[in-house]
Amino acid sequence: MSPLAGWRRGPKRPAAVAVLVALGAWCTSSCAPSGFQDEAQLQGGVRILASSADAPYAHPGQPVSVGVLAYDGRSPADRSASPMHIYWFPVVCENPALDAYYSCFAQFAHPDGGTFGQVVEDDASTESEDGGVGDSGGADAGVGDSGDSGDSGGADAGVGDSGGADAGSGDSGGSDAGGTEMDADADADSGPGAPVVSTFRFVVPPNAISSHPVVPGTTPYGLLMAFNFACAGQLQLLPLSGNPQAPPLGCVGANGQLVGPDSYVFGYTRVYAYEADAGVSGVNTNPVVDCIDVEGASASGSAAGDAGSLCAGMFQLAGEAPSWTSLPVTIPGCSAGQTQCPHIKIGAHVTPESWEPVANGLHEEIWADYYSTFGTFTHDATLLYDPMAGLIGPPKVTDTEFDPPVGPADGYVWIVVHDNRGGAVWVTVPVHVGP
Amino acid sequence: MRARHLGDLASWALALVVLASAPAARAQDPFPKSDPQVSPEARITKPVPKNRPGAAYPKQALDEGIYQSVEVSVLITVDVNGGVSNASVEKSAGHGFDEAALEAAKSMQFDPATRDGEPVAARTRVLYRFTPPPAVLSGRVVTLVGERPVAGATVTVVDPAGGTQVLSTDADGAWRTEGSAAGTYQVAVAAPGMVAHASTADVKPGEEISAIDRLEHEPSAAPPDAGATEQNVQEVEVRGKKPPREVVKRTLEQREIDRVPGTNGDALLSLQNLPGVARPPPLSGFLLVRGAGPMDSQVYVDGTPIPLVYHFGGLASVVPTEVLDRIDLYPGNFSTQYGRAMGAVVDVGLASPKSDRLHALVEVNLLDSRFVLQGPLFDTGWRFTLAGRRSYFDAWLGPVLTATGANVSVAPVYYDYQAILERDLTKRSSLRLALLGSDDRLALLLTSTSSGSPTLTGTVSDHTGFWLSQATYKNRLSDRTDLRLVAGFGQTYVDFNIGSLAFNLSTWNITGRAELSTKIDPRLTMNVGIDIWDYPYSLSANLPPLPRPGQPPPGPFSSQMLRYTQTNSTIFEPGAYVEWEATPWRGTRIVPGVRLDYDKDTAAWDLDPRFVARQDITTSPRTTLKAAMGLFSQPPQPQETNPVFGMSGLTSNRAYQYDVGVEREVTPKVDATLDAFYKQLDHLVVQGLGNTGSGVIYGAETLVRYKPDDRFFGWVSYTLSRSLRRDAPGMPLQIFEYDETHVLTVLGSYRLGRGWEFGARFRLTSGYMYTPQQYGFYDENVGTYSPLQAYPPNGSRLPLFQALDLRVDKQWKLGWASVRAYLDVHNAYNAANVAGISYNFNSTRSSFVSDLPILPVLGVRVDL
Repeated sequence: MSPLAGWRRGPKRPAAVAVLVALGAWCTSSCAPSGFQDEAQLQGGVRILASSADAPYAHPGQPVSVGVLAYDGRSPADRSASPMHIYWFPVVCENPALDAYYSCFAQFAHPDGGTFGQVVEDDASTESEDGGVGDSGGADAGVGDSGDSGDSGGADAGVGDSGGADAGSGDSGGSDAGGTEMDADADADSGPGAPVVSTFRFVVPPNAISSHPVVPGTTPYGLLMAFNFACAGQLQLLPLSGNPQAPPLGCVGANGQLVGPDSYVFGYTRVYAYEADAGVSGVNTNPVVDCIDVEGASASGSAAGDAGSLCAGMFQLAGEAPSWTSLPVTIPGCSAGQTQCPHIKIGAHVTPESWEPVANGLHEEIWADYYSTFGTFTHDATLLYDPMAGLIGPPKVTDTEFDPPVGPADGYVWIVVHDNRGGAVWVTVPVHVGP
Repeated sequence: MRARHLGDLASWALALVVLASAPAARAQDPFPKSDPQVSPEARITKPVPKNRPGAAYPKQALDEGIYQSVEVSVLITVDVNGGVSNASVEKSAGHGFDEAALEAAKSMQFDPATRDGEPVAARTRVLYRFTPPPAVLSGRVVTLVGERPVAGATVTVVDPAGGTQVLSTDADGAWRTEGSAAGTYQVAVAAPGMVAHASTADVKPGEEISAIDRLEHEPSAAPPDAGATEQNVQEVEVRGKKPPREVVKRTLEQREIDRVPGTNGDALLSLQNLPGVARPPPLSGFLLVRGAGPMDSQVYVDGTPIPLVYHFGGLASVVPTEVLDRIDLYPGNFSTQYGRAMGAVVDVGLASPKSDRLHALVEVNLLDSRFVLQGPLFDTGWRFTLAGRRSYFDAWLGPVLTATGANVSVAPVYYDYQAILERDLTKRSSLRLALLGSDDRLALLLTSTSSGSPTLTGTVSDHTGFWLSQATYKNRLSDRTDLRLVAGFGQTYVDFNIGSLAFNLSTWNITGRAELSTKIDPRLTMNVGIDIWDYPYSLSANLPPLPRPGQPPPGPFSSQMLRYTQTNSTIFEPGAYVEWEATPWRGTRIVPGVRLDYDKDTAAWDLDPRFVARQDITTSPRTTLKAAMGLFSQPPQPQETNPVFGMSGLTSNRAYQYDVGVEREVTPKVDATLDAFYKQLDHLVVQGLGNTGSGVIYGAETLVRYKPDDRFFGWVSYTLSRSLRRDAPGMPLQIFEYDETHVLTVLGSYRLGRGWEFGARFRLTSGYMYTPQQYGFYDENVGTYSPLQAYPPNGSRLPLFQALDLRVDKQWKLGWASVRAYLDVHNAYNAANVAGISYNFNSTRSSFVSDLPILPVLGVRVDL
């Protein structure tokens, strides 16, 4: 083979990948491994569905707010016995080696040999926002300190100025937790659990870009990673093991034992830092969803989009980015014994301006993930914008199909719209399934 | 022209054989002398031999040049039990005859002598008459240029006594006569359209002399269709481990390649049945030989590196079997004529076009259709081959993909083409012009995405292909000197896109090879050559960073920051080599050599010394010991030195290879080989770290093969090996991701008669290595889980792979054509083999992914 055959290995052999992708497409909708629960189904476990930074690409010195959407899909009894909490690492990992999230674990180790947890307990201060949820068992922040929220920080607070996340440094903290809950108390004892949104704020350090190694083939950037835990229990420090991926934290239940995968999620969000003059490579905003399509649904109130607009026939949204909500919709259900159940097309309309240009003549790739507390989807993710081809089609083409359960039933559907550069927003759709 | 190398062994196919078990001597038992002490009135019976073991003509006598009838009288005492209690030679004949006779006499058994019915001891005399064993004359007739076998040639053998024997060569060009007396023979070889040749051969008793006669064409005659078999196809040779210059040769006939079950007659896929070759991952097209990685081996077409080997990564070879003449596999310790590789070398040879008349074949099977047209180009003296192949699974795969929601612009399709022009310019020179090409295409728009890898969706397109022109000039400058020149020019293109990922490569392929082989002395040949690669290329790529082996991925594939490069550069790698073939005495071959390579990207020189030795320790049956050692350097891959994806300051990877082995002719039809190998690797390029890697590979492989005859061919191949790597000093030594400890292949094909042939292949191999994963982390930007992978990686192995492939062929010979239909059933008993592991979205559950189930493939072929 010619020496250039090596190029074709790359991450994968292109030709083989193309064939495999083609075959994978063949299997996507109908060849899921047998017995595996679909990712879109939220029943039975603690899940984080999405996160969104108000500035997926930020500048040095810019404050950033990261919101996380979580959901506890366990039974009401389990939710009551061990409520889910959202914890945030109070410090942001800065420029981990090889841009690998697990390289942050070594960063978090205290330089004197302990773990950052010891230092955090010493340095962390708490302050809850007005109406904050620190007391309501919802979104909490601070490690190992349930019920507290972290430092409010300030506009000048940075996250370490030594090129790494040196926990406990004078400028650390810079984190602020707040959040909102949606009818948590009302749903505590019955029906589906309530989604939880938790927010974390920090300020991009001034040296975020300069302290990142220059990567050939890319515009100079810095990488910041915010870690969070959705934990139905308490956080506990763990000793570092020989596996570089192993995290230094775990979630323990009331019995002091580590809980299973259904009771916690260890998540992270990346925020890139670019200079203001970085060009299109350094500009990235979240996709904008202006309405959703739920075919055959009825909604209370004036939910329909204006006639003649791109949202005509679809449902408008309430709230603000990144957490949008539609008015509750009612859809026909599937009766017991019915063989021909309705398939409800559901999807999001994303504005054309959301399809932002990137370098090299390409644009972003935008897709939607779907989740629900009941029913099933034919596709748990659909492509909305292709980097080269652009808009795949109107919502009627890009929608997934939702198969509701036997009615009457109440639940939620979430549509999370991502772009391939970390931008995201989500829409919560309360759904009532009629008889 | 006949090549005489009696005693020089430069080109003999067989070594000398000394018959060790000829019926050269018989025991004679005259009446015993009477015993004067016996009463004349007693009834006496003499001892009667129950067995008459002969004695072989002693080797000592042969070595000392004693070639005559010799009698030895042995006086023996037969005891009351009938055994020989004492034996002595009455008159010594020397030269080992006494010992041979005594040994034979002592092994005799008798009904004892009796006196009045009672057994008594008695003495008797046994006479052994030794006759020198007969000699064997054999040989092979081939063409001077191209060395194609000449079937039906007339061989006239005149023995020392003046007797004449007329023989005809078989399809392999072989002839043989046995039972010849020692002495000087006259051998004359003639074939239609070829210049006849006569020579003499001095044969000693018990000696087997074999020679290769190379005939040249008569100037006015069109070369006969040398090498054609009754199936009207050319011979395809697949050689196993082949030290340089035919020191070792494993030849598989075209019939074997075409009939191996489970390979659809694909010549390159058939390599996987040879020892040392591992089963590659599905659709990978990898060549994994003796624990080496897929990028450590090279594939050539008549000495020119081929840009691509398989369509779509492994569906079918880009060069069909029907246009091939041979496939040489060098699993390691290959000649200095090849470089820039640490693993194996595959050199595929294009077949010479037939010259007797126009031939055509058409074949249709499940995957593709092909045609081959070849023959003389009118009366120009040129002969040509024109071949082409196209797949058609796009006809059914396209609609299937569309039904699943994919917008299909171009359904997967491949085609390839070959054109060859060849001419014998003079009696000693020939010129071949060849054009090869291949093209794979695919274009889809996937609108459904996997939530696990959401960016592997959208526009999916692949257009990969090449065209390569090649000119080969051969000239036998003199009886002692051969010249071979090969020039290649072509283009390769790879355009691949998935979503935001893109890889676009265009390269010009300019290669050249020149080799001069000259016999300095009857016992010494020198080969010297140059070998140049020049690849100007243009590359643009938008890809994530290349993964670092041994390290967990930094995040989901879709989360990684893409890197972009636009590069115009040239790969320039010239090389030169020299090699000597020495045969200092009978049965010995020593081949030292050295190769020097330069790489423009590293601006460094690599000097690789190599050494191969063979020694025949017995000649009948032949047993040969062999050993080899050498240094094999491999420059970094282009992506490893690329400023964006790689790093600077790299040097070549290195492998020190050691090999010992034995070859044995178990019977005239069965060969057995056993090789043990050891490789020490260092200066391995590790992505992101540099030349910090090292490794070790060790193992053994064996092949027991039944040589093809009219009815049957088959072999058993087994490899036991272990391949280990270390990414950097201080890091753990890990099992290599492509390690396959056990590889067992048993196959055979039998002609039942009336055009029916039945074949089977059973394979048992170790499972692939994999890295278990478990519940890990959630990448919120992409919306997918990133599993926690076991560390160190590749610590687990999938279950054993086993499969039985069956094949049935039926041929009809019509007056004007030959029609063959076949059914090739892959995985005949539907073994539930495991190809991999599938995890659910958060790696909390897993299941095995099944390999291909039973798969029948039908095909029809027509030869005109």
